[in-house]
Amino acid sequence: MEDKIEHNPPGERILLWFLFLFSIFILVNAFRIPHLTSLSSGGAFPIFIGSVMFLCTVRILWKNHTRYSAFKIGEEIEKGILLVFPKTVAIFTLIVILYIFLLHPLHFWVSSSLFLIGSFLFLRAAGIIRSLFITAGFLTTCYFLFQYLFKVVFE
Amino acid sequence: MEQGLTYFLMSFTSLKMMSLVALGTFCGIYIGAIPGLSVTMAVSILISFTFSWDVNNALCLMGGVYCGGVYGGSRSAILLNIPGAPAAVATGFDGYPLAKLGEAGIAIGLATTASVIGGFLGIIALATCAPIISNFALMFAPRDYFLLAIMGILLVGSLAGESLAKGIFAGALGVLLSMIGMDPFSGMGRFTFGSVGLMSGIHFVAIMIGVFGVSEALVQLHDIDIKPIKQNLKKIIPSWRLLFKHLPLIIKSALIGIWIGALPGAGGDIAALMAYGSARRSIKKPSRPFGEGAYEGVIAPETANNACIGGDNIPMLTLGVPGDAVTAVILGALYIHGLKPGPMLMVDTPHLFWFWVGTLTLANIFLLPLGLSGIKIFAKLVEIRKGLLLPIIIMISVIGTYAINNSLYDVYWMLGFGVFGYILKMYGFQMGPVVLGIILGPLMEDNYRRAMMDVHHNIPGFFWEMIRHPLSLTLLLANIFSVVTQTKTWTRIIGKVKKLW
Repeated sequence: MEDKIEHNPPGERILLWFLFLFSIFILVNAFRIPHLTSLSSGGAFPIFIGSVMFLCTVRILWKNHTRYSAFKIGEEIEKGILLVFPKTVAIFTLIVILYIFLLHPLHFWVSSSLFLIGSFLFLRAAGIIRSLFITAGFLTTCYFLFQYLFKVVFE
Repeated sequence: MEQGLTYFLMSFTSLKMMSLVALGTFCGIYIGAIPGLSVTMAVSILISFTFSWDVNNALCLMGGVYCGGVYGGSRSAILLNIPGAPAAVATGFDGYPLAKLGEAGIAIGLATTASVIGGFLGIIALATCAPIISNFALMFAPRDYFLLAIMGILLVGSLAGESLAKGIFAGALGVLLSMIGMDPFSGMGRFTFGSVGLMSGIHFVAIMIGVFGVSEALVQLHDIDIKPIKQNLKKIIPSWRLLFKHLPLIIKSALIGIWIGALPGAGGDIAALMAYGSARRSIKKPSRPFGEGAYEGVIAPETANNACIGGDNIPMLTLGVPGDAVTAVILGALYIHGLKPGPMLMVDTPHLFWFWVGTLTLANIFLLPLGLSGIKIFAKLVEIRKGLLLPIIIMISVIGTYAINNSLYDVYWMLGFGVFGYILKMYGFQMGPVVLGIILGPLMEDNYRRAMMDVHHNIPGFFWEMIRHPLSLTLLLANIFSVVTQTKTWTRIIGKVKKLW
């Protein structure tokens, strides 16, 4: 049983069904590309690639369907979320998403400072004072390195 | 020839370029050594920063990071038993036991010298074989390029992952992503869903940084609490006697590395494991039993993985087919700087080829002093907590992606692909084939369409052309072979044959 879980972690079936539906969506959209008149037209290759993706997901789902049935759907979703997004990963991912969406309203340097200090504290990598010093040191280095050497223009 | 030599020596004669190679090698060693930071990640982030640079300067920095990074993985494999890069997995088998015996210094010294010698042999192979292969590749027709691109994706897809179907899916996903935007033949939008922003496609560097930077950082969060073990470092530089004693092993391992590297789809990790396996089988009296700190167990994989750099570059520069994920990223960098690796590279821009060979040679020269120094400082550096390292990786990824077009739009894509790539990785989908698909997708599609036009859209004619021409037939058979050898039926047949023997 342990071996099966190792090879087919919970949640894989859900992901594969999602990828299966995604490949159908791609296939449908590939057929809708205009001027599908010949085998060298703009839609031909996308249809081929969409079909490859579709067949791959069907193959994986078919091959593993007996192993997947070891889980009930509700149980699988719950275990899958715990596997892919344990507490630390889930919160850190949210912090990253928040950071990226705050880049525009807060300006790069302010949002990056908040992100670094918040992440260091959340990941228990340093205390408040040390986090502040590391953040200040790192951002100063970044400022000179990227602004002057690599010529990146920050908003 | 004289011109080639001039370009070869170009990076040796400019102080700026020399400094960039040295800086790149130095950074590469540390990036490769710190678990969680990969050469692929570093080079993909670097592409975005060196966008506006002169191509020669950008290549100097990237060549240095590339060479240093492949070697750097050995340091953490020896000191911490955590390979900094996949190519250093085999080094840890005997490197870490050596460190436990208090011989970490000599293990690092041997790894450095073996890497440098292996690197030089690989570069010699690149300089001698690439022009020959390139001349041969000029005979390629569009259908051959189509088959070659399929081969590149298939080999990496099947070698890198646990499942062939997942590898092919990942490769197809990459090809699909490369098709988003305007059709290069008709100018019609594909998969744009009416969005003007999508008409120019999704920048592949944003995708690469997402799937190699952000997703890798999220994967690393799973082992955030692992604490490294401190090591004692004594003697570092190996004796001449020790080196000469192992010279035949070094040459043999370098040849394995070059050969594996030259195969499209096989990278330094496979070369190192094969060289280690070969040494284990062929050496009857190692310095210690293998797995318990044999010098041979460090020399063989380290020689092979650095020799593989030269080998990897042969298909990348001559055919435009990358050997592994790192060369796929470097291939992307060359495209970005307006160069087109492939048979025409040696015809249109031969200076670039010799310049790149010279840069790799210089990086190898720098590898020796840089690799043998600063080991005590390094031991402290690798003890940096992941909690400090991972937010910094994310921030650099954001800067790198933003730098592509000075647009937050790319950063949003990077975030999306980072999280999506992380989920796929957790379920055994490899990211190497995705990137290969993005890079090779246009090559595959353009040549498929040209080949189809050549036969007036006649499917039997398309296949007949593949069978009729010996070169196309060879490539077709190689593709079929690479698919068949990954199936369970093949494994069963081989198992039975082995039992019979």
